[in-house]
Amino acid sequence: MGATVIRGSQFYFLTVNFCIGTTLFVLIPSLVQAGGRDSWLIPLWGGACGMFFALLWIWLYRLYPGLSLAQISLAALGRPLGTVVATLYYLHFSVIAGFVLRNLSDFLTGTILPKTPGPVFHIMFLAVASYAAAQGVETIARLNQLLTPLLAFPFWFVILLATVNWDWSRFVPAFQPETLAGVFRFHTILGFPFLEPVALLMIFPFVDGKTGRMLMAGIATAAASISLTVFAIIGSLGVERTTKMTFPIYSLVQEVAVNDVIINIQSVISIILLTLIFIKLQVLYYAAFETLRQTFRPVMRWPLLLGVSMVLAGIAPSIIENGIQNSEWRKNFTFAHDAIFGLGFPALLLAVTLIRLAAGKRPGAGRGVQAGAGARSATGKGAQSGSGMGPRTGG
Amino acid sequence: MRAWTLAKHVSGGRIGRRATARLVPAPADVPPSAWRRAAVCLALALTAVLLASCWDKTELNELAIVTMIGLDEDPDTGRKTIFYQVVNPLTAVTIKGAAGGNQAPVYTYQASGRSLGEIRSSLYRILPRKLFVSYYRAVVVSERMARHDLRDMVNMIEFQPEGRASVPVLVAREPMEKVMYTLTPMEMYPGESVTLRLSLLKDESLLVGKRIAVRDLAERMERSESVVLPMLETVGESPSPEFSRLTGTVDSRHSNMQITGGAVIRDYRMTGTLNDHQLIAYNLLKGNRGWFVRQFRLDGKPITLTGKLGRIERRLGAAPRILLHIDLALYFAVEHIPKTEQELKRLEQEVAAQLEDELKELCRQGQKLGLTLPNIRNPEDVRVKVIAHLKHIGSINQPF
Repeated sequence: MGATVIRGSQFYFLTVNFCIGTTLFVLIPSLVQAGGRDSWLIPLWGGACGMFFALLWIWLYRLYPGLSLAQISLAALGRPLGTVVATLYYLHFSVIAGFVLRNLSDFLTGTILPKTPGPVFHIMFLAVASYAAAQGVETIARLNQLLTPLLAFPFWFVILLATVNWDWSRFVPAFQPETLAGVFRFHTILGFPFLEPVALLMIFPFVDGKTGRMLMAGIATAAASISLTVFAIIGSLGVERTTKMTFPIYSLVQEVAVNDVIINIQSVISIILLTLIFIKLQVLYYAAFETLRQTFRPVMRWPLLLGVSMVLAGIAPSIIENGIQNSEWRKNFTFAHDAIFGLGFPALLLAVTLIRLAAGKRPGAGRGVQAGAGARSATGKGAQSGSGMGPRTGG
Repeated sequence: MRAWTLAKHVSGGRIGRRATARLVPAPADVPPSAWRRAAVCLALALTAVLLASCWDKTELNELAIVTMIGLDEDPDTGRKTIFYQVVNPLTAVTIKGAAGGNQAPVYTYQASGRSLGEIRSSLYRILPRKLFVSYYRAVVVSERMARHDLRDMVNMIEFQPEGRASVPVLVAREPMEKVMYTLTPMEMYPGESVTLRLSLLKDESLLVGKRIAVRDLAERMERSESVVLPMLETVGESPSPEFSRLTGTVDSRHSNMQITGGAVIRDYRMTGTLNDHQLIAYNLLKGNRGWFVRQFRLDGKPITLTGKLGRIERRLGAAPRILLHIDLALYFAVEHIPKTEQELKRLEQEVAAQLEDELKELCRQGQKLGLTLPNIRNPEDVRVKVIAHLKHIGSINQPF
């Protein structure tokens, strides 16, 4: 039947869009402030580190094939402690989703819809997200697959149109020691977006093959895309103006003028960003919902969906008071906050697992675990696909 | 081993449950599907109430469409004035004989105060429609404001989310009232008329540079480079809303504006003006590629030549050097046309030498005028060399 299995390519696009998500319009001013003319290097080294972090998650998943993050924490730490960790993950996903929602409404009220109250956007997005989350991961993956070409082509097309204002002199002098120091001092990029894909561990068990490779490729593609966008923004807007703008990518497209006929096409970019953000929200919503569901196993799903939506609708307007607080938070705490959940807990789970493996029957225990896990996944998947996890348990 | 049994139990329970949920579409405890569908439809219909257009809807006939913005500041009192030139909705869609056919095509609204934001919001004392700045075509600032400080102008334009920063800035040579209350023939809207002329002047006479928009101004100022903005003045004895098209006069001098000279802006302040020859020289040094027409002198006799920048080589560093290759054309050489190869060589050398002198002269005055060249600290250090080549001949090979 294969109802809940998504293809590797679908997972790849999900990873790409998840990583790009809010990054393109929230992070760019502070990124350019930190790295100046060379700031397009920041996403590249950030992405390289992100791939390194992803190795940790993949390693963890290989020890528990067929299990999602919430199930892994229950399996590794036992019921009481595992519940605590899973609940913390739920809160983490909710907080990021709250930020995502808030960034979205801030963007829209700051640009094209100044009079619309923020909660309207939150509630509308949450309504759709909860519906898709209830339909399951396959729906989300297919939706994303359907939307990706509709996002990518117009996006790069308008960026290409904007290059009429290109000026190479905006990049010189390049690679000065002081700007390079700024490039590598900007640690926010590690947390946001490259530690956030830990939420994708909730989707791992549903991916049909090459999960790790697709995750790595997705992060690399996202890093390259962000870098290219930053490069285009510096080349077309210049460092001086980019650092002073709230939404440089919006202003960039706003200034596109093709023969005085095609002007004011900024709504194109608004819609693209809106959809990208929705995908990020969708994944986070799903992760938060599934974490709770798999941890507490309620009989009915709808109260949980309603609860998750209500919590998010509450977090979004109250998580920050204004954009200045947001950028302060990003500058000072994003990396630390994301590192706890992206590196700290996975490392803890990994350490506990390895210690348990070492304490148990030494060589046999490892294989026993994996075989056991394989059996688990087989029983789990047996009803659905029958083939899903079995072959990969050994590797 | 115990842990793994637990894990097995947990996960087995979980996945099993999910599988069941998948396989059975409607669990027993939910209402029948008809009810459910009705509930979903109702919920969807209710969420439609929340769609965004309830707050931010705008109707075309509620908008005051701005075509040109004017800014003035009294340096002594700090009092600022904004002028919004708004399209007259009745003339915007008019056909001959229809209502509004003999009304002014634009209305200029003017308001003053201490802060640009306050002025903008108090504008509704006199303006009955919502200000809509997405399609404005030009910004005009008064000369006294330009000589004082242009930061306010840049900030105001960059602040408004709906207004683009890619519109040209002009400096008014005369009091703002005079400029903003003058109508132009041919093109109905002065803002449109001015913008069209700027692009013609850029391509056909090289009297206007390429980078003259608000965004270019902001960027160049932040980099401590200069920008040369076109200057605007009115034509006619008594510029008034009574305008040649309406009063039926053929004379375009009756009420019009003209673009003359260039204002050098540096550090958000106007530091000097350039005349036509200096403007051509400056735009050539900047690497702008538009045709220019100049009368040169060859053996004491005048000769009018058309020229265009072909290739430009810049060498930066301690001893900056600029080498310009000028392509010449004989399109307007009515006085004299060279006959032989030898004459042509002399013509090319002479023209190159005269242009070179002018460029060097501009570089010498650069410091005084406040001019800079891209990535060159001091224009006086630049060694300029010009090479001219005849590339095009005209429709006749000898004048009558």
